[in-house]
Amino acid sequence: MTAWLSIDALSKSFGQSIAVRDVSLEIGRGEFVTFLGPSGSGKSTLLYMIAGLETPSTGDIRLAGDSLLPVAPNLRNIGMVFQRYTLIPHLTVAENIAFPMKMRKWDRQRQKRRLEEMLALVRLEEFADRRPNALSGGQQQRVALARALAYEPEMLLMDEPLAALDQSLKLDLQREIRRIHDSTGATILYVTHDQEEAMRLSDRIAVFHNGTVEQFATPGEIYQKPGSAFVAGFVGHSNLLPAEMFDEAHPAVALAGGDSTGTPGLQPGKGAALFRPEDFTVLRSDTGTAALTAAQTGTITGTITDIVFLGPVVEILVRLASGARILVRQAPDLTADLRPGDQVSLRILRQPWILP
Amino acid sequence: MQTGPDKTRSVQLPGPAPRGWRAALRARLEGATATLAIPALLLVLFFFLLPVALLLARSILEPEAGLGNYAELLQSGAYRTVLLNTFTIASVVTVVTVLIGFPVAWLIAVSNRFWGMALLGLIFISMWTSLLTRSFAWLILLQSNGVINRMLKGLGLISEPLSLVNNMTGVVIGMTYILLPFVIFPLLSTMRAIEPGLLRAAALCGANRWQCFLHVFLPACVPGIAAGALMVFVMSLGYFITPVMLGGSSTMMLAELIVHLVQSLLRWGLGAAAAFILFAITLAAYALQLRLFDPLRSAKGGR
Ligand SMILES: Nc1ncnc2c1ncn2[C@@H]1O[C@H](COP(=O)(O)OP(=O)(O)O)[C@@H](O)[C@H]1O
Ligand SMILES: [Mg+2]
Repeated sequence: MTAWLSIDALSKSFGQSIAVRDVSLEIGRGEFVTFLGPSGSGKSTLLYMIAGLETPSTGDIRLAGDSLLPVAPNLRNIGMVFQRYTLIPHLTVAENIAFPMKMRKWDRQRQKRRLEEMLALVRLEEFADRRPNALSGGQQQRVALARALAYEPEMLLMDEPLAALDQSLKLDLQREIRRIHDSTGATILYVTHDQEEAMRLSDRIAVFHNGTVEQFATPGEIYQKPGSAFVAGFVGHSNLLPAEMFDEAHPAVALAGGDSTGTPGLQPGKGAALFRPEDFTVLRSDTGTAALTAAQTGTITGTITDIVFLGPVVEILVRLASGARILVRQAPDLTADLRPGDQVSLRILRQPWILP
Repeated sequence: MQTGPDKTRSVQLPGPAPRGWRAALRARLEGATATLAIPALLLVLFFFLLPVALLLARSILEPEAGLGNYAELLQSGAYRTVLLNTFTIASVVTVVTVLIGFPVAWLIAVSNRFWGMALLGLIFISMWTSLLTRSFAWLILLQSNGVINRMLKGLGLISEPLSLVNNMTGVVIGMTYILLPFVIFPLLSTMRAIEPGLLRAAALCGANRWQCFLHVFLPACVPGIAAGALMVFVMSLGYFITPVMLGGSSTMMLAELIVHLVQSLLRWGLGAAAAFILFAITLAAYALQLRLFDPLRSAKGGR
């Protein structure tokens, strides 16, 4: 995808503390990009700089080749939805949605047509004449979304728009946001600290850590091929075991501390192998382990220390001979006869990702 | 009113109270909220309603029963002028305090901590100074050979001294100065409660600074303006010392008239009627504000 929005070596410091350091991203037109990271990692600051509400310390932001920095926020042609409700309290829902069109002095007919489209888009036709404080939080955010999209901005920025809503409403609105993205083709930059939300919505995710972008990639890559231990730990659960790559083409691993996968002739102890909790099948050591002896690669042995039933899955904590702990998720019916203290073999279902 | 949990609790209580004295006490207290309000009601009755009733009684009973006092107040040209003066001065003072108070409150709201505190401090110091002293100070500043006139003359802006005192100008200047804090404080708290994100969001909607002010900031300040304006208006209606000191014989206001009627003319009935009119206007202003800016009604939304 060719770059449409270019963020170029952008930094922002507040006095001594650096909120964003040397971030560069290339974002394509129509892409849904999420900034994911823990609180305080600089996501909002970057978004605010794109919106023009904060001035970068160094670096540049370009849209279709032209720098955005000299453009005032009200002329940037950007729509934004904030975490806190920012509807104008003395205006009705319809007046709020029409506000940006009024500011741009659209003619009345066009305003009216677009308003009706927007009310239909966020499914709030019956609420057009209500005041914001007569709406629920989810409805208010839908109005904010409609207002941000009303004047057909080139870009839609959202700063944790769903963080204050409860879980079921969140799912509904996530679906709605995705639908709006697909039907309008808008370029969306979305900030969240919720990895599941990021996975669900995004074309690409930029993972933030201490003001820098650790990795910028598709959700699948972020999960399966994380670029750093931080990314591996922040997105999903990670079991990291010290390991060494055997061969670039066939990256089998040897694990440290005697937890060998059984591949002979490897020196363990370098690098880290990432196993996700669903990368294993748990087998009791006394049932059929004979079939899984040294000849068979990809088995780790250990002792169960804890079993937690979560409904669709059961989480099993296994302590290896080296002392390392591995979290495994299994379907409940496969684990009915397992108890803490049991000796088990973990069969590795797929090759682990070796962290660079 | 004996509920399950209360019963179980009463069982664990020591002492000879088998049926749960706590539950019984609570039941009695709950039935007695009206009774508990009696002292407060008595206080209001005694210190507020009773004097008002006496005032009303006096205004329609002295010197003889009937509405004669009210008829005289509303028909006599001199008294009508006083009523008109009161109303005009209160209205002008209200408008001027809002016009000056709004930018001052805004300045305090947007200044950093130091300057905000400094400005507030100035206002507080002037408020803590005696009313009499401040009115007297204005008399000295405003008189025809006072500081202001001499300065304007020295600058060559005027040749004859302006008459700034012993007329409505003097009264308005003095009262505006004294009542300014009563519009600044409610406005300041309203402005501080405005979500800054609201203005940022409006800017991203394409509003320039002026449009943000006009369409977002100013409407959000309206409740504060209304509260301050009502306060100033009601206080102006009954103002006494400042109009007496800075006004002239042609700017007599209602409070001064009442004092005059009661102390000099000993016409208690007429004085009471004038006071009751003042009271009625005040209540009407308050009712109007509740009607326009009822916080409970606007919270329900809709139009
Ligand atoms: N206006 C500001 N003044 C000072 N520090 C700020 C300001 N805004 C943000 N910061 C700091 O910058 C860092 C990043 O903040 P932010 O971008 O809000 O993080 P996030 O949105 O990822 O939670 C934080 O350490 C925060 O304290
Ligand atoms: Mg944030």
